[in-house]
Amino acid sequence: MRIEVKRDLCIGASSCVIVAPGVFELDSELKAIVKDPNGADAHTILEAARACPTLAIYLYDDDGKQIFPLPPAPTS
Amino acid sequence: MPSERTAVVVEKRPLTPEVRHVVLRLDEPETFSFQSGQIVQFVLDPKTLRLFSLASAPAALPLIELCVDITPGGRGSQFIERLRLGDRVQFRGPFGVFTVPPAETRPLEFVATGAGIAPIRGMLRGLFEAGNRFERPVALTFGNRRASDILYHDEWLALNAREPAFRYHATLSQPDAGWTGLHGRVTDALPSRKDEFQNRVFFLCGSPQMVDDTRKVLEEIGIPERDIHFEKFF
Repeated sequence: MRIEVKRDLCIGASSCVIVAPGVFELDSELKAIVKDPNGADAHTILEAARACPTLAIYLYDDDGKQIFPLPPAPTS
Repeated sequence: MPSERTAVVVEKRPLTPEVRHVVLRLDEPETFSFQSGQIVQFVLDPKTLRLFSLASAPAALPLIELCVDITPGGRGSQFIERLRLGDRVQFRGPFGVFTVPPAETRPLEFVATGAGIAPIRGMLRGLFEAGNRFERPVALTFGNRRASDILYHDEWLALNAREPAFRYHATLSQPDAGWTGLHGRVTDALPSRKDEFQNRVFFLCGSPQMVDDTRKVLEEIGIPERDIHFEKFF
């Protein structure tokens, strides 16, 4: 899994750091960065991404396909 | 660096011993717009930022409202508790994606506990001030310990009485004698209504434990993950 923090979206809410402290930390500008992509299991990393209030964390599978955020749900 | 805005405290009152309702008047409202449910970020000092959900809807501008539980006692709680009428505050935003997408026309179920009602109050106000234009069912399931803990209870009762499309389900985990509403946690209240939930979109807000427990219950009764939006108050 590849983890990307969209720096322009990150507001330093720290949700990702709380959920997956082994993976994320805040830098000196209070933006989240990936300190160790292997610092938690895939489920925990996905939960960290889901907890971000601005959806600043993008996740990609090994083929490069975006797995989070999910595309918008179809509406009826 | 995000642009910083300023506002003045024009009202502050306790909703309960633990929760404060704060009303701010923007200094430059013409430069600010937001979607109901979004958050703003207060700058306590250059290295200390705190997020608070907007508990009001855009129609209330130039006023914005906050609903904050000060129980945690940290820097954010202290900041809110020290605010006095006339104080000027700095904030950034709005931010966040915990909003009802404009294109979303399906029935909506809001689920909150405690001060997790803040962004949901903003969304409900936004929906009904705009006339609930899709005429869809909208429900609020609101969990608290005791009746005295229910934030904006009278607002929800009034909305329930006024809006045929709205249903209010208050549930208490430690109900007082005489409570005639639901008993138990929100996770107890939801499964019995699962027949209503087909094609319904959920918005959950509260503690991480409440959100995760509710997501699990909803997934067990067949709600697709993509139809469950949430915001955790850490």
